[in-house]
Amino acid sequence: MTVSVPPLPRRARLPGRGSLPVRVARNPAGLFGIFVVTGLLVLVAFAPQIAPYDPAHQDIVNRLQGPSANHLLGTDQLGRDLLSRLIFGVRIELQVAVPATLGALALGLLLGLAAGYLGGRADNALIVVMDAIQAFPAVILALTILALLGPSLRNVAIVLAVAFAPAYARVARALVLAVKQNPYIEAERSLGASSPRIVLAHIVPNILPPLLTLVAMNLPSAIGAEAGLSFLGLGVQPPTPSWGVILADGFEHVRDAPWAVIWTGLTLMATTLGFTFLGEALRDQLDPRLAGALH
Amino acid sequence: MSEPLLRVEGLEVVYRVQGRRLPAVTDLSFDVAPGEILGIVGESGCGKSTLGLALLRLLPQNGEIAGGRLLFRGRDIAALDREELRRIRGSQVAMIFQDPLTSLNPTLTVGAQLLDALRAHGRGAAKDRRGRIVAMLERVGIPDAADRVGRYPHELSGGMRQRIMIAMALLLEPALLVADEPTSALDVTLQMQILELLRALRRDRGTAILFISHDLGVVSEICDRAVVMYAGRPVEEADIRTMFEQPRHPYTQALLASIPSWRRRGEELGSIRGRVPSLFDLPPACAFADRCPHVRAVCREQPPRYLGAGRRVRCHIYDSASGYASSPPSLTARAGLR
Amino acid sequence: MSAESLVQLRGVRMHFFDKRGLVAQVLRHEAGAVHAVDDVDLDIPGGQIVGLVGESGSGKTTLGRTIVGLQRPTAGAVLFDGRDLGRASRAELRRLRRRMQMIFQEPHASLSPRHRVASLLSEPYRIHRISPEERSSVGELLEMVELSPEIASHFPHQLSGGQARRVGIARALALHPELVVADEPTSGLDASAAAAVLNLIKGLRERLGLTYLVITHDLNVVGYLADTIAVMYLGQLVEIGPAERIYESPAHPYTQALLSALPEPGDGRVERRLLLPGEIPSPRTPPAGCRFHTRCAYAQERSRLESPQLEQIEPDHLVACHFWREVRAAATASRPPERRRDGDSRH
Repeated sequence: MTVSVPPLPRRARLPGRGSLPVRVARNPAGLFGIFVVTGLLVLVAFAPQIAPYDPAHQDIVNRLQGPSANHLLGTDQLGRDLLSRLIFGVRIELQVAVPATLGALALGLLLGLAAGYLGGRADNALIVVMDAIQAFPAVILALTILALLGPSLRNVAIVLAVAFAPAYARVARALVLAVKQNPYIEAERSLGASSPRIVLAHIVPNILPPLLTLVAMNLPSAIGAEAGLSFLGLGVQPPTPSWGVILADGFEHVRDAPWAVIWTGLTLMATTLGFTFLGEALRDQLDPRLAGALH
Repeated sequence: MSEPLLRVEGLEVVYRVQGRRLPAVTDLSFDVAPGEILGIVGESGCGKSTLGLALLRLLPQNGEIAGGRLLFRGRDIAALDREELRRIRGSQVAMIFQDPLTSLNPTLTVGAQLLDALRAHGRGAAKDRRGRIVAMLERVGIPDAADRVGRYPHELSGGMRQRIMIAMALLLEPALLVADEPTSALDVTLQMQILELLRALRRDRGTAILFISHDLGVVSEICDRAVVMYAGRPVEEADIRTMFEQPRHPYTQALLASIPSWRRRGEELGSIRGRVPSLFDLPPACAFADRCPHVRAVCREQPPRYLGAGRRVRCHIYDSASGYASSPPSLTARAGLR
Repeated sequence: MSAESLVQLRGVRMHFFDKRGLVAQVLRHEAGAVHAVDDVDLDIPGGQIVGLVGESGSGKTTLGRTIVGLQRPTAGAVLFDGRDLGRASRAELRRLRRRMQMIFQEPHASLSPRHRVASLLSEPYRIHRISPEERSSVGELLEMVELSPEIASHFPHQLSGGQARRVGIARALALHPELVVADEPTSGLDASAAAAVLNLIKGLRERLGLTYLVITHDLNVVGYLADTIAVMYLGQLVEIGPAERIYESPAHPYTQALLSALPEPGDGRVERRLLLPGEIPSPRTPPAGCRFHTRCAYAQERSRLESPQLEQIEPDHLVACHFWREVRAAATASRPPERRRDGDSRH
C-alpha cells in the first residue's frame, strides 16, 4: 500500500469535476489554447467576412506601408493588406497542417501498432524503416518528394505526413507495448478474442488519448514546417497567402518595412503557443486517467 | 502504571486535496507501553498508514497534523524542531515499510546504507561500525552476512530486503519501532519468520512495536493489544484475546465474521453491506451508521463517544448516556449481518 | 482418477527460456530455464472446487493459465472433457475454450478501461457470435453476481475493487462455462469485499453447477472453499487430497508448515509454529532430488539424491515425500490442543 494521499473517493475518480472542455478551460494556459484554437477556426470559417480586403488585391501605390487606419497591419510589397493575407493564410496553414498531422498520425499509428503488437522480427524491421525516414534530412526528403510530385498544398501535406510519421510511430509503439502488458489484454484473449479485435477494440482506444494530445502539440510544428518550406520556395507558390510565402516576401524588404516579418512571426508564435498549451492542458487532464488505462 | 513510551492524544491529521480538507485521522488516542506490541488494524483508507507517517512527521506536502499531541517519552513530536526531530528519528523511533524495494536506496550497497545510518547518528567508533553491521545482519537472520554487506538491494530477495530494513531500523536500537504492513508483501512462510524476528526483538531488547496492518490474522499473532480503526477514527481498543473473543463494536464483529477459514466451511461469511465511506463524504454522526446492522436514529444524530480505559469502544450501544436504548430503530436497520 | 474428470493434466511442464541469441535458441539450452511447472498430473472432477495452493515460485498461476489455454505447455497434455487441447483444431479449440473461463487476479486491471461494463459483459457474445436467444442479458449477468443494474453504464475506474471483481466474474460466466479458474479471487480486496466474493463463488457453484479451480496462496480461502486441495512447491505437486485430509492430517512437511502458519485469531498465540528456515529457492535452479529438502526438517541423504514421486497413501490422497509416515505421525501427535477446542464447529 503506497503511503501518501489516501485513495481518492470512489465516485469522483476523475480529477476535478465537469466535462473535459470545462476542465481544460480551468487551467489558464488551457484557456489560452482554447481561445487561440477557437479563434483560428473562426477565421477559417469566416475569412471572407472578417478580412477587410481581398488578399490578392494589389494597390501598388500603397506598398510597404506600416500600420494605419486603412491597413491595420500594413501592406506588403505589392500593396496587399497584410491583415487580410494573414487571415486567409490561416486557411492555407490549416489546410496543410491538419491533413499532414492526421496523416502522420494514421501512418504512425499503423506502423506503431504493427511493430508493437507483432513484435519480434516485424518489430525490428519496422523500426529500421522508421529510423531510415527520420535519418533522412527533412529538407532533402521534402525536396525529393516535391520534385517528384510537384509543389502544391496537397503534396506538401503528404511530405509532412511522411516526415512526421516516425515520431508518432515510436510513441504509438511504446504505448502499444505498455498496454499489451495489461491483464485486460490477456483477459480478452482468454475470452477468445482475435488479434484484430484486440487491437481495434482494446489497444487503439487506450493509446489514442495520448496520441491525440501529441497531435495537438505537434500541429504547430506542421505549420512551422509548411512555413519553412514555402519560405524556401518549395511548397505553396505565391500568390497563395501561406504564412511562409508572406514571410519570404517580407524578408526581402525587412530593412525598410519589417512589418510583414514581424506580424507573421507573432502570428506563428501565438498559434504555436496556443496549440501547445492546449495540448499540454489536455494531457494533464487525461494523464491521471492514463494511470488507469496504462497500468 | 509507569509512563507510557508513546502517548497519542486526540490526534487529528488532515490532507488538503483539491482545495478541500480530508480528515484522514480524527480523535485518535492510545498509549504504547515500553516493550509492548500494539496493533493498529483497519481496512484501506482507515487512516492507519497516515498515523505511521504522522508519528515520524513524514507526511506529504499536503498533509498536516491539525490537532492533538504525539507524546514520545513525554515530549510532543509535533512540536519538536528539526534538529530534535532528526535526533529522534531512527535512533528512538524507527520505521519499516511494506515494500522494502522502494524503501532502500537502489544505488547504494546494503552496507553503505547501514553505515550511513550509524554515521548520521554518531553511533560507535568508526572502526567498530562495520563489525556492528555484520553482527546485526546475522542477528536478523541473513546468511553470509559479511558477503551480503557488499550487495545492492536489487540483488537480494524480498525477504532479505525486509530483514535489512529491520536491521537498519534496529541498528540504532530505537525504543519504538513503527512497522507499516511489514509482512503484507511476503509469502506466508516468510511472514512467520519476520514475525518471529519481531517477537525476538521485543523479548531481547525491549523494543516496543506499533504494528500497522489490515491483516487481522497477523495482528492476532503478534500483538498484545490492538486498536481498530474505521474512517480515520479509532472504534475499539482491547487486548488481543478480548478483542477476538468478545468484540464489541459492530465493525469489529463484522470484520471478524468475514475472515474465511477451514472452521467456517459450512457457513456463509459475514460481509458488511455498503462500502467504506469516502472521507470527503462522511456520515454526520457515526461513520459506520450506514452499514451497521444495529443502527438507530441516535446514531445518525449524535457522534458516538470513545469511552473506556484500556478497553474502549466508540459506539452508542455501549454508552449508557447516549439514549441508544430508547432510540427508535433507523429505517435501514437490519436484523443481523448479511 | 475418475473418468468424469472435467480437466486432466498429464505430465505438464512449463519451462520458460530467456530471450537469447540465435545460437542458444538453436541449441535449446535448458540451463537457466525457469522450471515454472514440472511434471504435474492433476485431475479436476466436475462439480468440485479444487484449491491450488502455493507461495511465490510455486507455478500455480502458470498452471492455471496453461489450463485455460493462455499458454501452451512445453511438454505434457491438458485434456478438457477428454479432448487434448494441444491437438485440437482451431475451431474445436475455440469451442472448448468457451467452456472454461478465467477470473483474473487484479480486479480493475483485467477490465478494458475504455469500455463500459455493459460492453465488457456482452463482448464474449460478440466474439463468439452467439445468437441472441442464447445470450444472457447484461441485467441477468449483473444480478447473478449481485450487482445493481446501474453498474452497466459505469467504466471500470468508477467501480470499487469488489465491484470490479464481480464484473470480472460476471464476464467469465457470460459464456456459461463449465470450468472457472479463479486466480487469487480475494486479492486486492478488503476483508468484507473478499468475504462477499467468497460467498458468491460458493453460491454460484450451487446455482450453476460450476467446477472451480481456485488458485491462491491463502490457506484460509482454500480451507473455506475447496473440496480438494493441491499443494505446489517450486513447480511440483507435493500433496493433493480431500480438504479434510489435508487439514486434519497433512502428510508433507511443506503442507504442514503452511497450515501451521495460519494464525488462529482468538486462540491465543501458539508460539510453537513450524518455522521453515531459509527462503524459497529460485525456480531457475531448483534443488536436486526433492526440491523441498533444503528447508525440510526431515531431510536426509536420500532427499538430495532421489526426487520423491506422488504416491497414494489413502483413497484420493497423494503425497510426494520419502518420509510421509514420520511427517504424518508428528503432525497428529503435536497438534496443539487449542485446535481441538472447538470440536463441534469443525464438522
